[in-house]
Amino acid sequence: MSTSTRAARRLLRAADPIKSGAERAPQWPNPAARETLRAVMAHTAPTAERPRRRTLATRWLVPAAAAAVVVAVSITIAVVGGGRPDSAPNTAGPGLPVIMPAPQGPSGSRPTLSQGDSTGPTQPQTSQPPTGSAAPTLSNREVTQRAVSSLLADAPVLPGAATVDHAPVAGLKDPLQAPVADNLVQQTRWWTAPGTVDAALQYLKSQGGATGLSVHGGGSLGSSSGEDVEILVLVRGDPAAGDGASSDAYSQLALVLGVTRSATGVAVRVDAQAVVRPARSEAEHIPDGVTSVDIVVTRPPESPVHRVLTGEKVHDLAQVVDELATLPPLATSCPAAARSVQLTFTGADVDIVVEAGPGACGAVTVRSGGEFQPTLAGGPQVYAAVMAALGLSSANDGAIETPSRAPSVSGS
Amino acid sequence: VLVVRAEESVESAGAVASFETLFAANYDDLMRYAVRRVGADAAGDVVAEVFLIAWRRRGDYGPDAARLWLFGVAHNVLANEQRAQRRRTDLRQRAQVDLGRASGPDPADLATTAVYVRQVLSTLPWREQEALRLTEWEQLEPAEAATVVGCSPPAFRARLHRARRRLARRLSDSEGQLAGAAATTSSGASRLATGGADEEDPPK
Repeated sequence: MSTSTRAARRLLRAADPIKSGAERAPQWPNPAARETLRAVMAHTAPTAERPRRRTLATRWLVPAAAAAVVVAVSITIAVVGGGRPDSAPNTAGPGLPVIMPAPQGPSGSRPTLSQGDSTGPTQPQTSQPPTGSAAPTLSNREVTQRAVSSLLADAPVLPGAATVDHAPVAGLKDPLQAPVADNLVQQTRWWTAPGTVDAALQYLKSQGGATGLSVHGGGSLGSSSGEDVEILVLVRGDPAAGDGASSDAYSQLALVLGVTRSATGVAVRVDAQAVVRPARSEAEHIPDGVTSVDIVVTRPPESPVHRVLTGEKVHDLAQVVDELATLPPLATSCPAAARSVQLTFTGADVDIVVEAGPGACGAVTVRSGGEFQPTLAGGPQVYAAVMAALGLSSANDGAIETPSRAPSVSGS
Repeated sequence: VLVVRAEESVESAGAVASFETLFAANYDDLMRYAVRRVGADAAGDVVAEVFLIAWRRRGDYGPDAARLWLFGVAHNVLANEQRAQRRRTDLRQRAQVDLGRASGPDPADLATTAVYVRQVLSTLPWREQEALRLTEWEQLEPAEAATVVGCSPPAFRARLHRARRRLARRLSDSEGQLAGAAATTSSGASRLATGGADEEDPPK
């Protein structure tokens, strides 16, 4: 006998910890909840801020994406300005919300509470974060614009800074650096502030850390005015645990700050930017009716491996593909891939061919009914999943191993 | 100056009132969500964190979408909390698992079907667990749950479908243990496990 999905759902509902009596949830109103409400609304001044738990630190994104951002930023800055890499660790503590002077401008000069929590709904872990919009589904561009706006709002501000609506010095008129991409979303703000460039950089680094931002690079850029522009790149999250630079809706989310000397102190340009990913098409999601996958593994100089899988492994591989985001439209140069896997998913009304390789570029092409769909990112994941499903080693591609566990259906 | 202060006061009073309404309307749902995930002891802190973020960002969401916005925040807070807990207790948990394997399943843990089903649920990929919890326990529509976890509705529906099938397969694979656990209860879980009578219409 087997458990039907309907029966499984019923068992799951019955296993609800609250309904099954394993846990009890307090209900509103109760004294503890009232105290919570009172304490929350008391958080309007810096002195009232309670220490935030370290569990809320932004350590939740994909390390590979972090590495990609570091590489992209470093390469761009090196090319543009021949700058020095700067990956100084944060010296500030965990994401303690801090009061900082608001830029002077149309919004007034009241101090504002910085958004030290990157746990908010604009976290790039989600491609379509809940927002104030009544529409439950946002386009990737809308998600990206909100993420960029949120990041710009979280940008550290120098003490005594004043917002200006145009570049205060000629060297900050143009974007400092940006990914070469058609789908770039960028929002810019300029400030002037008293002090020196070195002190400003030090402050921005420390305050960035305090608001959940991490230093992901930096450099020095010559400008037409003769004054060097010091660049600092911040992203959300912890580079060691991942980054906040990528989601299903965008990639390369970064805050690029340029600081240079001005007549009254320093001038700052802040660019919040990200590259919008194309939307995934409905057609490239692998339907649940898939029953088998025909796999061809190409690993020269060995002969290609051909296998057909059925059963749970098919759904596991389909899930790997379904979870991928689209490849951002960045200008990249990738070496020709010698190793690759081709997966042909078949079943009732299923005709999807997926091709992927283990290379760093990671493009995954998908054809549904013979039509190419938006390219996906995640070739190494697909390649590794296929190798694992076949019991082959992806660590040493020099020799093809005998599968440790035979596929459920033999191939040619 | 007086005019400005008066306007600020009015705005502040309105914000407080609307936030209190928001809090009262969503406290129970968020508390249940948190209790199911981290237990009653830690749920209070999680809910407080969610509302603290909501208070700080009260300009970021409108009344129509506030509920899902709050669930989205809670989803992220809980994910961070669980990652942190996993890092802190990884070694200890591994030791416990090893000990459990050496001594066989604890009969006390299998005393109820609910505990056992939750154990099976915990073997699913995390995203699938979350898809099932949000729809079956929190009773969110798939489109709402997609908003909470931040993916498209089609992607979520595909994920949910696979999660249901995988859960059913895992339960089938361990049907003997499940039947044994069910035999200790009067819930008739073994009948349910085989897809017997008393079928309900699934939630949309």
